[in-house]
Amino acid sequence: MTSKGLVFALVSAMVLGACGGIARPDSRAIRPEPTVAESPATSSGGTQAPAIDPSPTSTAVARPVQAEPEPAESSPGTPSATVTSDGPPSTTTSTGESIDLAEVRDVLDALDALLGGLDSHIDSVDLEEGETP
Amino acid sequence: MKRTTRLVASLLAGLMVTAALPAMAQTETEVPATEERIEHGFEQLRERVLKALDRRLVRIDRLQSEIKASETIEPENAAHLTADLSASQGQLTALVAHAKSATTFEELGAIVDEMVYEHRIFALRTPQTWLVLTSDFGVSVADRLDAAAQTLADASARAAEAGYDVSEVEALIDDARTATNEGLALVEPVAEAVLPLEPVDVPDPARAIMEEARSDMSAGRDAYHNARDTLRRAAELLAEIVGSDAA
Repeated sequence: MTSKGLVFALVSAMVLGACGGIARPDSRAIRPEPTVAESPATSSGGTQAPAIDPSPTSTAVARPVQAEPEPAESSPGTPSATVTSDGPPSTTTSTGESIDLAEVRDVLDALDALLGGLDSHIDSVDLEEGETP
Repeated sequence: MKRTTRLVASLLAGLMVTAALPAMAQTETEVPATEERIEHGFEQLRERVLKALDRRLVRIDRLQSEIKASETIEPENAAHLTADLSASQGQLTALVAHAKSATTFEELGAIVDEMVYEHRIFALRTPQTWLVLTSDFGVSVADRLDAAAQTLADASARAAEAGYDVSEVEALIDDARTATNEGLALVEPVAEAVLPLEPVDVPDPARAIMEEARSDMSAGRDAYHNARDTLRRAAELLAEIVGSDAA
């Protein structure tokens, strides 16, 4: 490994530790991808399921780019640790798509609130209330 | 002798009249007092009837507000409940006017009978409305659980594409989906079961049907909790596998 590659890999590992993402070793990340809602919006729950895909959206937020070790030093078949970071577009030829588990956590937290609401609804059903004038 | 006889007779007559006078006086004062008490009791009864009618109208108003505020109730279910409640609202409002003009106990009694037996606002309409609201809300919770499972499945698929072994995660997601479907099978039929109930069905069979419906709702809720807990375990496991502490 060249010294430049070593430094690059070290920085990548540090950023990974800070952000906690992983990458899919494919070549799709350097081009903008349309965001696709991964859960159908329902009109019933009061909260919208957040999309898990952290790929670029139409908002003004800078598009995440991938920082990863030099492709030549990644062994095929081994998951490559890749993180998202803000900055200018990378010219990396092989990039990955991160998995943001914080989104999953948000969905589950929203579910907790919904189940609490269901509990309240069930508690409201009182069959003992009499009809006495 | 004749004078003596006449005197005694006069005294006896006088004594009898004297003895009778207080009783006569008492009777003359009691008649108005009794009438007054009856009148007072009638007005008290009228007030109670009017309060009872008002309590029902207030309850109907609240139930209609809950239906209107619900974001999850099925439109046809909302229309069914609203129609029943509005009909009762109109008839009970008419009874208020009737109670205010009633002049006999019999009239008030008839108003009470109609208020209770022909509307059953507390024994039927209230729990019926809540059960329908709860059932439809429960269906929406199943939708959200499915969406959460899909979100997690997508994340798991990406991890699999990256080379991680996520078979355990996928198994947990399948378990969560199964639990969600179990809950939905209990929760969804509740609205359909209780909606057709009418005041004539109280207490039987309405009571038993609504008790079973509430029991199914509780069991469905338990299944949903199980699904949620399983999804959380799956998320934690996936985070562990990919080395993230996000979940």
